[in-house]
Amino acid sequence: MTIEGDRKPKAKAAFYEPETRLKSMVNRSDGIRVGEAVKKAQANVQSYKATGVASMDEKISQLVEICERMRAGVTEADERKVYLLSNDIFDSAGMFGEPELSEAAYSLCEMIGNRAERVPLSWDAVNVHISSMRLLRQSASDADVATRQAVLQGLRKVTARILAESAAAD
Amino acid sequence: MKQLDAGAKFNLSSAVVLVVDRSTHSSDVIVQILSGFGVHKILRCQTAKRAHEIFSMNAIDLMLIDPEFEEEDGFEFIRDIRRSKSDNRFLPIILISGHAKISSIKRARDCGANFFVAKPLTPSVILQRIHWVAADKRQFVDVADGSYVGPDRRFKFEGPPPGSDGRRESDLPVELGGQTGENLSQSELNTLFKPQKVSI
Repeated sequence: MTIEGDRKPKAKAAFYEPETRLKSMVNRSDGIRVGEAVKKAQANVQSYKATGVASMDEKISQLVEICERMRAGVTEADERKVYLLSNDIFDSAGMFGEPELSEAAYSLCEMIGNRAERVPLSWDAVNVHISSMRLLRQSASDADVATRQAVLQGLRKVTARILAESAAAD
Repeated sequence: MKQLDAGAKFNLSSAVVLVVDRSTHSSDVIVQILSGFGVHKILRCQTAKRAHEIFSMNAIDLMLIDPEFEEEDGFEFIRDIRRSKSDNRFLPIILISGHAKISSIKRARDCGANFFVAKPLTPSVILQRIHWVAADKRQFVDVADGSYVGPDRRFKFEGPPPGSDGRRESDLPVELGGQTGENLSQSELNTLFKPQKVSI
């Protein structure tokens, strides 16, 4: 059943079936095999690992600097920078085998990105995330999995609390 | 969408791929992955403004883009491409994203990209999406009021959602009309199919 009041005029649309060159390329049988291509790409990514990890460390240092600056007051520009840097760290750490660091970075993104605008960003919450990211990075080769999991559990609670406050504010 | 066969062959050596990512490191990784797939010509940039320039001067076969820029709006950039008069407007676009804000998810669906890949990236997922994009049979929709231009967002069409009669003019109501005449007789049905005896 359709409710009359909700009815919108139907949109007119043109439909196309464009041919792309990509289609013929993936169907060509004179190239490389899928398995071989994936292995080559994985090897290329691994050869880039040292550069990627150094870049990730540099981004953690930038986060620490911004966090210090934010102690005096959180600006929108700094908040945006922290979001983008932690998004990059989430990606790099996930790719280069540091899942806990990746999850901590994701938690910071989640807290900043999905927080309601009217809920102010807490410096303590940002600081605890960044300090934890440093700790997780420094102890990446440490066998103490339980401690790292406990750190993550703490971050999850912080983010969940702030998102719950956001939901209540909406 | 089917999984890739490890033994299947493909050839991207003549493909021109545009990689747009604010992060140099992230685009480096994508370039490494594409090089492993045999792509020789990879154009890359860090801003939507520069991507627009490259887009208007080159024939692009595939674009991989992370829509999170420092200041620009990546979703709006994709919408602009789809609305442009350029031959490139139909180009396959794979959206790459790290953390996705709730407010961005609907925008990602509605900007006109073909597929979405979540970071952290892996070569097998990227290659799979490239094959999906290439084999995509969805029509390209250009809504007259400009509200959407891009691949059909319906992967499967099973009639308008319950309680609505659809958004498009071509959407037919699910309800069947009433009977307007007598049922056809068997001989009338036979005439429609023209059954004939044959000797074997």
